[in-house]
Amino acid sequence: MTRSSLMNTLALTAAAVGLALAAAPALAADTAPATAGGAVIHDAPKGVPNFTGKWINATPEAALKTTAGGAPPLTAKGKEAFAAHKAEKAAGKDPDSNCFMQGEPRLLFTKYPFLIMQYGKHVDFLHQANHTFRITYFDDKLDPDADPIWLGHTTAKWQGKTLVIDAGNYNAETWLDYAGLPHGEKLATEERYTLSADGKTINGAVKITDPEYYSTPWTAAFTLKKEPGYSLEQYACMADHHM
Amino acid sequence: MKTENWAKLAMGACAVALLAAPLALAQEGGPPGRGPPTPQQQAAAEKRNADQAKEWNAIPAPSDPRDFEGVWWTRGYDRTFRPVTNPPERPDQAAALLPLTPLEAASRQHHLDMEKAGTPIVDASTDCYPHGVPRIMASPYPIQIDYLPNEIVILHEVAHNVRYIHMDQKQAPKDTPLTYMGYSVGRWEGNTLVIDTDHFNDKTQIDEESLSHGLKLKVHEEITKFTNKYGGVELRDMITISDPDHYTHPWTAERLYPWRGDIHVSEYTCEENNRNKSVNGVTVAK
Repeated sequence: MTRSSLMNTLALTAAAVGLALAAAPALAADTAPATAGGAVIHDAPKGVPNFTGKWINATPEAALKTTAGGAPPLTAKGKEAFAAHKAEKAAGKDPDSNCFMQGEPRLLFTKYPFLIMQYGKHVDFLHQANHTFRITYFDDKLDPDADPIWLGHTTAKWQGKTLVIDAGNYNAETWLDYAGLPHGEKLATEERYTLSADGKTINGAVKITDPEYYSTPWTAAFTLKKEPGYSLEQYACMADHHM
Repeated sequence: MKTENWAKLAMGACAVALLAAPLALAQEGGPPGRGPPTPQQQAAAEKRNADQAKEWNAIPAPSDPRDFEGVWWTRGYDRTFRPVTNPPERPDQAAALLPLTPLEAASRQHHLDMEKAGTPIVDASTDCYPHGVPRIMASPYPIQIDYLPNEIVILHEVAHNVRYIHMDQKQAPKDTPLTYMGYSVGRWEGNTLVIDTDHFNDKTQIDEESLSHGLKLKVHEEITKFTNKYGGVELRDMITISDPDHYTHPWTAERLYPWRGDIHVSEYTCEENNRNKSVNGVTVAK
């Protein structure tokens, strides 16, 4: 090897090392397993967007609208129930005033933040509003015979990079929104979550299907903004109410 | 409905558990206070424990000793905490071994008397407030542990209680409010998860039966994962309770949480149809 070629080799080597050093922190950050204070998170999502974090609805809605900005397509029965709920609300009888679970999609449109904790096998939503949580497994199947419950029975799947959560078997005790949009036990919801390229925004949509109360399925859209940190404030609904 | 949901329902909605008779406590042998188990009881218990270990580990627990993620469910139903040192032979002897201050001794007796009279004193959970710590760790409902970067979250089925363990903090931040569940910081010592919790309000109890606390309560927990002799995996939570107004010195109780790969945590709405909600500070089953 000539002197000049040796110098060139050294220069190239130095450049390569420099590049490697410069690249190292970014690589480490991307590939190091996340830990809970030193415990490896083994079931972290792989090959899909990671929604884990604290989120808040950027434009909380008291009254849901369709994506076209219109009123939801209530049936005659739906209109009757909606009017009854409005009267109940005026009389202070929102189901939330008893600290019952608010149900979906109402919880997604509150002004309170919530955690999404996403894993390979399940995805968990934990709302600050009355510390209400919903656990959804990717391998669960909806069972039409399951008992109706406040947050419904859920299952999750991926459609490309979109997280889709399907739910059914809701009880009929909740309202779809603060204004009192009604639903029955035939309610089915489909939530769709898509992460922005910078990871700071989720474009969300929830499709409402309930032929008794709505003449056609309709969709409400929402935008979630990432909040720093993870834990939520303690919110004990019952502490603010007299039983 | 799945079998385990029936089991949970059988334990009763919301705070009805307050009034239920204690179920068998012991993993091995018969219930405490009734003498040693017969050989037949012992054999039946051995078979039951072996069968359970197999069923509960159908989806195996994570092998990493620091990985507690997943569902755990304590066995049976034990309404009170007992010191692990010099354990009593019978549950009703526990009081003599608890380091009660005169204040707590009187308070405890009042709790026991009121329960005997059929009007148990309510605690926060009776009215669907959060259970508090360590009270929540004695609840006979499943829990799910989730790991976040620098935090550990425990989701309790009972009354949708939630615990956050802050793994990146050494103590509660200044001006942390006093709350039902307090403020928890955690760290790993080897494969033991060490949790210190304080900043409690005084509206919760130590246990479901009779033990109280005040604003000076501090709770220290050491949680480890181990494999029992039947091949089942369990978490052992050693819970040390300190409150100089109520206890003359810190004392430690134990709770075990077997791995339950066979179940999910279900919805539990205490606020709905709470048959035990309080009237003038006491509850009467309705």
